[in-house]
Amino acid sequence: MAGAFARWWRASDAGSDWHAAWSSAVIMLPQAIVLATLAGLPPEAGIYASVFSVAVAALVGKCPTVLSGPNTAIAVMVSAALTPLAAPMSGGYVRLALTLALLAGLIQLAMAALRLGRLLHLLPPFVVQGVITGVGMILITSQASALLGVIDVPGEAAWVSVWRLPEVLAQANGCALAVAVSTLAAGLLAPRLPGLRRVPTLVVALLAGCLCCAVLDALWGAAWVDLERIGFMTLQLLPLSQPHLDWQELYLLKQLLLSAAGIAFVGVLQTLIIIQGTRAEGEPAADSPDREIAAQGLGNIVNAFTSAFPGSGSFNRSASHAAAGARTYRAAVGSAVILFALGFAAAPLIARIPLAALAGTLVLIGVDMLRSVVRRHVRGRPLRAAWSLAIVAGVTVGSGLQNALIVGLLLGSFMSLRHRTHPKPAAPVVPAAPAAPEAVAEPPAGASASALSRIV
Amino acid sequence: VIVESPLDLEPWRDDVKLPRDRRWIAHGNALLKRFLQIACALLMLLLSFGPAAADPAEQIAKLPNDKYGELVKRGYLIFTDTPRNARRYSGNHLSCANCHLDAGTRRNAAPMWAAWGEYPAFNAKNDRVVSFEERVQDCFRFSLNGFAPPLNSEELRALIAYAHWLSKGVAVGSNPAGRGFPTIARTGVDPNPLRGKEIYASKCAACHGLQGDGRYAADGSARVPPLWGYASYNKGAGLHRMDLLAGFIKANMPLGAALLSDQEALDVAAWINLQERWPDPRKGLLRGLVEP
Repeated sequence: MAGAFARWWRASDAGSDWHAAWSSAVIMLPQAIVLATLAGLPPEAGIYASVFSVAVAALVGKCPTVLSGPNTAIAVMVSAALTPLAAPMSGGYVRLALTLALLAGLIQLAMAALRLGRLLHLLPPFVVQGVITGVGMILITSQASALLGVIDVPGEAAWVSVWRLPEVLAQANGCALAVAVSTLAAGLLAPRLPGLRRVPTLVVALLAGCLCCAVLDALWGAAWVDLERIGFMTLQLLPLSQPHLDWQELYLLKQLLLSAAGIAFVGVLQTLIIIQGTRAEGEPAADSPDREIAAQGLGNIVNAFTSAFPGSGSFNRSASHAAAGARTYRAAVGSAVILFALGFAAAPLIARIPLAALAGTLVLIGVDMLRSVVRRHVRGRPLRAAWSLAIVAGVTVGSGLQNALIVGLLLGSFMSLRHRTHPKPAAPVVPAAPAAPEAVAEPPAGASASALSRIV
Repeated sequence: VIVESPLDLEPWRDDVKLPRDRRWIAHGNALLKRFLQIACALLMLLLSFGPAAADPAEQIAKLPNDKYGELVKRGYLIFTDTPRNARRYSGNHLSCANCHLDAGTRRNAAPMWAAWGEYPAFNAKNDRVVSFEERVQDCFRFSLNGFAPPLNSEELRALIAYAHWLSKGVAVGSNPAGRGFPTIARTGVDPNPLRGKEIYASKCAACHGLQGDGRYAADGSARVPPLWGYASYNKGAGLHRMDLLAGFIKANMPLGAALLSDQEALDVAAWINLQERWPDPRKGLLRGLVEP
C-alpha cells in the first residue's frame, strides 16, 4: 500500500507538488478545526472533512489547483441550518450534518448531470461578492462572545450577538480577551514582519494565541485562567458513518433539502470562481466545469459516509495551494494524507488550543474576506456601484445565505431587464475590473452574450 | 462483591403472585392498596433514603428509547467509563464511578441522588455559589485532570440528565443521609504515613498495586483506579484533602469490606497524599510544582 503510494507519487511532478502538499496541510489543519467549530461540530469532523473528500474530489476532478474541504460560507450555512434542529456538538446534530452532506452531494451530482456549470457562469459577480461580504460580517459578529470567553446563545441570527455585546462585556473573561487580542495582533502584524511573511498567517496567529494561553497557565494556573479548550480528539483511521433520518424526523426533510440546495449552490459557485480565478492568463477555459461540480458532489457524498460535514472548494486555500507550487491533482491528495498524519501526531497539542484563539482566527478570516472584497470591488469606484453588493451582504447578515442568494438572483434579473429596455447603457452597474482575474467571468464561448454576462 | 441491600424502588409493586383464594383481597381493596402506596412513598420521602439501588444498569436498560432516555444512558456510560466516553474532556484514567461508587448510587460515596437537590450551593473552592453543572465541571478540572466541558456540551448535559434520573423522588434541599463523603472525628493522634505505607501494602496493594497505578483490562480501561502518578487525580482534587480521603477510605475501602479504623484510614490517606501527582491547576507552574 505504502509502496504503491510512493510509486504513484514519484510519477508526479514530485518536487513542487510535495512542497504544495506540505504547506497546504499545515494551513488546512487549523482551518479544519476552526471551521468545524464554526459549523457546530467536533474538531474530528473538520479533520475528516479535509482528508477523505479532498482526496476523492482531487482524484475525480483532476483540476490541479482546486483544493476542497471545509469552507467558511458552507460552515456558516451548516450551523444556520442545523442549530434550530439540534444542539451543536450533540449526536443528533452530527447525524443531521451527515444527512445534509449527502443531500448536498446528490444535488451537486444532479447539477453536474444537468450541465448547469455554464449557466452558473452567467451569475452576476455582485451576488457572490455580496455573499462573501455578508459571511465575513457574520464571522466577525458571531465570534464576539467567544472572543470574550462567554458562551453564545446558539441558533440566533448573526446580528443578535452585536445586540448582546454589552451584556457579554460585563461577563467577559480577561484571560480570554488577552488570548484573543494576541491572536488578532499576531494575525494582523505577521504579514508586515519580514521574518514571518513566508509562514501562513493563520498558523502564526493561532500559535500566538496558544503561546499567550500557555504563559497565562504557567503563571496563574489553568483552573484560574478558566479558558475553554478544544479537548482531546479521538481520530479513527476509517471513521465510517451512515447518514439517516428516523421516520419521526421525516418532517425535517423539506428544511434539510432547502439548506442542502443552498449549500450545493454556494459550493458549486465557489468552485467555479476558483477555476476561473486560478486559471493562467490566456489559457483556454476548461472544456467543462461540470466534471469539477461532479467531483464536489462526490466529495460531499464521501463526507456523509466518513463522519464529516459538507464542504466545497475553498478559495483562499486554493490560492495558496497554487502559489505553493501545486502542478497536478496529486498535491491535493498528498496534502490530505499529510494532514491526517499531522492530526494524529499533534492531537495532544491540539487538545490545549483555547477556543478564544480559534475565535480570533475566525475573526481574522472574516476581516480578510471583507478586505478582499473592498480591494477588488469597492475601492476606486463610485460608491453607488456597490449598492447591489451591499444589499446582498445586508440580506446575508439579516436573514441568511439562502435568502441572500434569492435576492441577488432577483436583483440580477431585474438589472438585466432594465438593461434590455435601455438599449444604450448609461454606465455598467458593476464595471468590469481588469485587476481582479477572479471577478472576470468570460462569457462562455457557446452561449450568446446575454445581458447578465455583460453586467459581469 | 458484597452488594449493599438495595432499597426497592417501587415497594408497592404487586407482581408477586398471590394464592388464588387471596386474590380477591388484592383486587377488592384497590383503595387500600392506593393508600398503602402513598404511605410507602411518604415513608420513603420522610426517611430520605432516595433510590439507592445497587447498580442502576438494569434500570438503565429498561429506559424507553426517547431522547431523555438516550441522554440518561449516555450519562451512565460517561459516568462508568469516563476516559472512553468523554474522551474530549478527560485527562487521566479515572471515571466518575471510581469515587462515586456503584455508578453514583452508594450512600457515603457522594451519591448523585443526594447531591442533585443541594445545588446551587456555596463552594469554598471557588468562593461563590456554583450550580450543579459548575460543580461537575470542577470534577473534570481536578479529579479527572482534564478540561472543564462547556456548559452546553453534550457530555455535561448527559451527566446532568443521569444525575437527575437517579434523584427522582428525592426531596430537593432535604440534605439526605449518606450525602457526600463522611468525615472522621479527631482521633487525637497525628496521621502517620509510614504506618499508612504498611497498611497500604497489606490491605490496598492487592488491587491498587504497590505503586498505586491501579489495574487495567486488556483493552486499556482501568478496572481498579490508579491512586497516584500521572494517570490519577491532581493536587486540586477534593480527595487530595487528607480528611476527605480518610473519610472515603473509612466508609468504602477495602471495597466490600470497609473495616479500617479511623486511625488506619487517616494513616493510609497520609501515605497516599505524599505521592507524586499533577500539580494543582489553580496555581501557577512554579507554585504548583513546589507546593504540596
